[in-house]
Amino acid sequence: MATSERPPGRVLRISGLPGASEQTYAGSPQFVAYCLGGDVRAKQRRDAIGRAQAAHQRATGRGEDPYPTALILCQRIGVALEDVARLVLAFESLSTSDPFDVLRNARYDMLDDAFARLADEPESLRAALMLPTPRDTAELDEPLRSAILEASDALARRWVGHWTRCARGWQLLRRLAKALRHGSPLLSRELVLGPPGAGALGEGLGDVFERWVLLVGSEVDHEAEALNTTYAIADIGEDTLSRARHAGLEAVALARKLAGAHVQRVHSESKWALPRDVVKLVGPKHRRILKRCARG
Amino acid sequence: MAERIPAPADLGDLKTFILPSRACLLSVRDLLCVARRGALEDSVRAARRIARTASASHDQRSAAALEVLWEAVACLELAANAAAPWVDPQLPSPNGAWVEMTHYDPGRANRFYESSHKWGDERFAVLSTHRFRHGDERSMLELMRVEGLTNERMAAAFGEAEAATTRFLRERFETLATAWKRMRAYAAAFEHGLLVVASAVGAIVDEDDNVIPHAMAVWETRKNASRGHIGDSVDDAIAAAEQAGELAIDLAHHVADARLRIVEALEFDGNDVYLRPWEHPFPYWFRRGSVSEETLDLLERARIAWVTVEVDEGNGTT
Repeated sequence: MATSERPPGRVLRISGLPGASEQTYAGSPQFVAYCLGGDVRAKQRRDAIGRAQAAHQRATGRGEDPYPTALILCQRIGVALEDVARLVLAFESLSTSDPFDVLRNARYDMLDDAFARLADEPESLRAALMLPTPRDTAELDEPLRSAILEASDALARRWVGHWTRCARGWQLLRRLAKALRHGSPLLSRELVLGPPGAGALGEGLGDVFERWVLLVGSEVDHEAEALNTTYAIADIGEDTLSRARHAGLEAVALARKLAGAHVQRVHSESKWALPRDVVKLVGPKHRRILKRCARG
Repeated sequence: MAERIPAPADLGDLKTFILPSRACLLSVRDLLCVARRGALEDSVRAARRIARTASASHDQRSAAALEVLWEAVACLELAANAAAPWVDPQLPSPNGAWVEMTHYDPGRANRFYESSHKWGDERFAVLSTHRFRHGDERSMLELMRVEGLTNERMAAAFGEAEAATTRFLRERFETLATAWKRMRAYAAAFEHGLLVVASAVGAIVDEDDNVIPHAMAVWETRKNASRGHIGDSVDDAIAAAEQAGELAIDLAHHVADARLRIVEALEFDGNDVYLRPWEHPFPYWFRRGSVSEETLDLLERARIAWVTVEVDEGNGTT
């Protein structure tokens, strides 16, 4: 495998971007370039989840051990969820810093915070998703303003729903995905319940799900010069997997829409850009107005 | 000769040492290795299919190849996490190395692979449980002799297996360490945002602004940098990742399996623990021809059974 590995004298050149890519509202040329890859990114993530789901269905259909394929499916969904959180954090920072730096520097605690905080604050989420609000549409004439606000409200309802389900999925999958990435042991239900069992690991926990793994983590307490091990059950039963998969696919779709809308906004040098299919979400009168507006 | 005898009383605490160790090693061998192998095969198959599809775009091929690199790096991390608590222990854990396996240490895999070229033979021997743990290099052979192994042919076979396995693993680690160094930044770029550079707007150029063709280019995470795979095809990147990933899974399996052989000689019956005959007690991993056929035959057939020696402490007779 030959690789350039950042040798001296070689640089990444970004060119051919829309003219407005240098504007503050665009974030940065690199961020626009990243958003241009939204479709490829979405296809890759969706296909990876689809292949994992197919493998899991094959395994369960043949009566094989369902744990390996269930875990891989969880990991791939977790990675897709991470994408959308990074993108939304980037959008939140558009006016204050380079969103691409935010996107690629965000750590897990920032992603945790974004999912939890924005799921609880729909208006903040709406602003982060760059959807028009009553306040920033004040200068528009009627009936265009009403049409845009109806579309924005409809889109906000849909995207807030996506986000809320993504946040729930993240809660479930974040630790699983990280454990799988780093090779941390995950103990299956049958291994923990035994016999002979896993000793102290899993003690005191009930057997509340049809299929679960025990996540185990040990932390060093430097003051006490001790190691503390904790554990928790992660449900990976079929119902939960199904919900998680839907959340993952919603994350992929939302990330694609957001990236696409940003590229469109920069191309058209507009304050907002709404996806074309938003017209299906509004009444006939506003639909006609939005279609006319889209035609310029 | 008894089929099973009561296990020695100084075996270690079942609840905090033996059973958690067993469970963590079984998780690695029977769940995580299986999962990672399936995922690696799936991503390789998909990436090769996309690479052959004429209508697939350059960026689709890049993203699919990146997925393979990410899978390979996950396999490398699995091997490091399974082996490092013995080969490169960082935490004093009285309950055993399983505690360290469950502790997230972001520098573990890096230390593991990047220091491997400096390891002595004893350290490679720890991977196969021929030696117990780095820093406590008691040889399993010495321990067996202390416990009563008197068969010199068996002892010689164990010694040959250790030497051949150590040579083999040292050689294999060159592949693993190289793959780790080359692939981990790509894996991070795939996992944390799929930072593939769209070829329509991104190109890697030299000092004179001449484009250097790259089959794949990514932004790096957490630094203002990019890296790319030179050439017009991702095929060799996929092949290198597949080879490294498979080898890493084999290593993780070997490490866990070698450790489990000791535990699997234990039989749990209610609250009682017994020693049962120890099947295949000598782990080995090498190419055919590395040891004599006679030795190989002995390694394949080796089985240690137990006898109970009762000591009458009153008059010193057995």
